[in-house]
Amino acid sequence: MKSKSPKPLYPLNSVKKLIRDNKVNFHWDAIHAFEDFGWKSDEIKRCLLKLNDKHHVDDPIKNHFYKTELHRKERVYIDVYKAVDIMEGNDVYTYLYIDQYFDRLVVYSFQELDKNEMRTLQR
Amino acid sequence: MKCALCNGRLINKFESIEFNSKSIGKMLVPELKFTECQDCKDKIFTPEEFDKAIDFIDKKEKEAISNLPIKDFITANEAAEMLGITKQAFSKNYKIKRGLIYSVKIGGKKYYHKKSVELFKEKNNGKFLISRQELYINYGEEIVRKVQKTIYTKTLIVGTPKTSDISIESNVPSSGWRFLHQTGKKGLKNAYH
Repeated sequence: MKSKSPKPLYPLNSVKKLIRDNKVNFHWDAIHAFEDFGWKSDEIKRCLLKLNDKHHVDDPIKNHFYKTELHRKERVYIDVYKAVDIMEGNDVYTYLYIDQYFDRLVVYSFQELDKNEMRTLQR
Repeated sequence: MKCALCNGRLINKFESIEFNSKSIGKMLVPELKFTECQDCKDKIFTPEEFDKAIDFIDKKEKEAISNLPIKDFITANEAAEMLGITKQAFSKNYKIKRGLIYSVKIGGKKYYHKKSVELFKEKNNGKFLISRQELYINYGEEIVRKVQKTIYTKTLIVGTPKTSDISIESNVPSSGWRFLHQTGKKGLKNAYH
């Protein structure tokens, strides 16, 4: 029997609702979005609204959710997404979590998916 | 207020932050409001402050690009040809529109930096470090060293190098070099008179 695919810890519906309500904060590392794609906060938010929660391993081209991992400080879990050709032809690698205390989405990291990995996926 | 990542104390700050730009290297982004954890030093920004930082970086990068020698820029047709795409596809490309190929506007027409086009073809991102040497390569080692010293002085004061002065300084008579330690117009004026 096939095991059930993992799902993000923070349901995408909740994540997208926070984005629509403009309850989003950015970690300084997310500034790579500008270096890698020329994007500002609006483009990042538009891109996040396009994410799906299907497991990336099942279909690396169409599915975005990759894994949930414990942050190194071991107090918070972070959802990791890898999205190929998600917006404007870009491949995105992003880390997100919801700060429960402030009820805000935090974009912890937002950068281009590694090129070597892309080549592996396209094979 | 506690940090979600480490439970450290969060404090509101209003200060400059160092950023390592792909185009111009280390720079200071001034006067940003953010929340910092006293323990893990993680910095969190609202979308408005995040965009403010990006606008500043973008402006400084554009200033540096506009100081690159004009001979290194090519037309959109030539750039499209280099990339092996039509001019239409070139002008519609989102990444190019977003500035991933260095460009300048002269007389309402856009020109693209040749090296940046080559890099874009190879890596899908035409950003590269516009080094000081790249701008002053023709002026000899000693001059470069002196100019770099001037830029460094300015960097400490205003946060990023202002390369626009340098093309003028390259014409400074040799006797004027002793004034190069002075920054801005004052140094230039003294060098000439």
